[in-house]
Amino acid sequence: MDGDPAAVLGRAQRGDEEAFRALYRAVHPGLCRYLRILVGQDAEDVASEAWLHITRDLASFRGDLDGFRAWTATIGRHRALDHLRHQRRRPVADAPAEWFPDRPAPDDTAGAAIEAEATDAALALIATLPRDQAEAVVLRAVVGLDAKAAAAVLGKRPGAVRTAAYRGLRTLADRLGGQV
Amino acid sequence: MGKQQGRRIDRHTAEQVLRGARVDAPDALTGLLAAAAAPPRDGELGGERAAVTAFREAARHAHARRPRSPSMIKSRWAKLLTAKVAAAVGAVFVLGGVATAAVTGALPLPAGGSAPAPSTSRPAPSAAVPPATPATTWTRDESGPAHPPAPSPSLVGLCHAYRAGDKAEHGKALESPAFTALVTAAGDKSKVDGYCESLVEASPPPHATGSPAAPPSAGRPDNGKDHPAGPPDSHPAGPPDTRPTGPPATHPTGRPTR
Repeated sequence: MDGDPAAVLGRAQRGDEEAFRALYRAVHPGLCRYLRILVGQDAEDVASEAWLHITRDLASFRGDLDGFRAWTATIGRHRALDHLRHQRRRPVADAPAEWFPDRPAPDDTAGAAIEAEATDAALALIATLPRDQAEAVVLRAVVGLDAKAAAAVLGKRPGAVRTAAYRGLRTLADRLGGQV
Repeated sequence: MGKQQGRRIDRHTAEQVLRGARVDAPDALTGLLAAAAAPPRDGELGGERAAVTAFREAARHAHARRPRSPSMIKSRWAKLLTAKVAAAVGAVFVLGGVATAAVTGALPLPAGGSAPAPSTSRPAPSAAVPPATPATTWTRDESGPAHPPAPSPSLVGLCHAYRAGDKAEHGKALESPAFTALVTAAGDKSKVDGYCESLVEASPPPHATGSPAAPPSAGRPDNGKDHPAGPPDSHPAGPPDTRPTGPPATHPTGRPTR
């Protein structure tokens, strides 16, 4: 809708509200799914806090859209870790559904709901991994970062992130293989 | 189901899978990742209004003061990933456009920018706080924010996810935030197995109710509209200390959705 992503980012940085909306729509879902790995259903709230920060510093950001995704993920991650520190005692109620990859849709109208559930269930299953593995998998496969960018977000070396993601996938494959 | 159940994926395959490439990996695994990266639903963009409000506020403040240059930004970010596949990014925008149509159609925004800024305080769990966004409602069919998801289907779902896991990993799995509700409901980590057993057996086959899409938690109305730019104690994003200077990998960013 807004043409070239780099232009959208630049326009948003100069204060163009429509461009900012486009940017938000492109970035927020992945960011929020990543945060769900960290804070469960509080992800939307944490993401809101992250967006306050992002909007405040948006004008000074330097980089392209991929850099922007990584930057926002870094901000979101710090907010999430703060949140966890403050909210340890409060139960986090998440509401994932079951992961049934082969389950047929009961009917057409339920199809969309099931797709939505599949996303939630997939994230819930990924969230059962050790956190470093879960983060690595989601930053790469959902947010769309490469190993280096994901490593920057996590404050690790790319090799460590590759290994964590690999172990995570292996565990997931085992669990899925054992389920059906 | 999987073509290669019992065979473990190797590192190379894992890397390909993470990049969204079609590879000879177990179907269930690629399906899982595809589901995790599926296009956004309307409910996932519920915070847009609040974000736009914050954006306006920030723009207003920018006129008053020079934006300080945040320490988190390094110019090397500019070098990062410049060659990533533009088409994939474009695809994300197309999806965004679809979502836009859905969202903007449902969301007339106040022109004056006078909407309350989003909270900077620690929010209550969103299921307990219906977003009483003034005047506008989310056309998110019947499962609107007034109806927090019924606990039982999600607990059943949690049980399925939990039981799908490796038994040896159960202890660790229960430390995940995703299962906190389950542990709470069961009373104790050690009781989860029994709890799930009885729950799953007692419950009817799962259906599409209790959709876990959280109510949009945009526009939390519960506090003031000033200082939207100053979440307290914010110290996010010190510069990532690893340096992404190398040549960008060539995987597409928006994961192809299948």
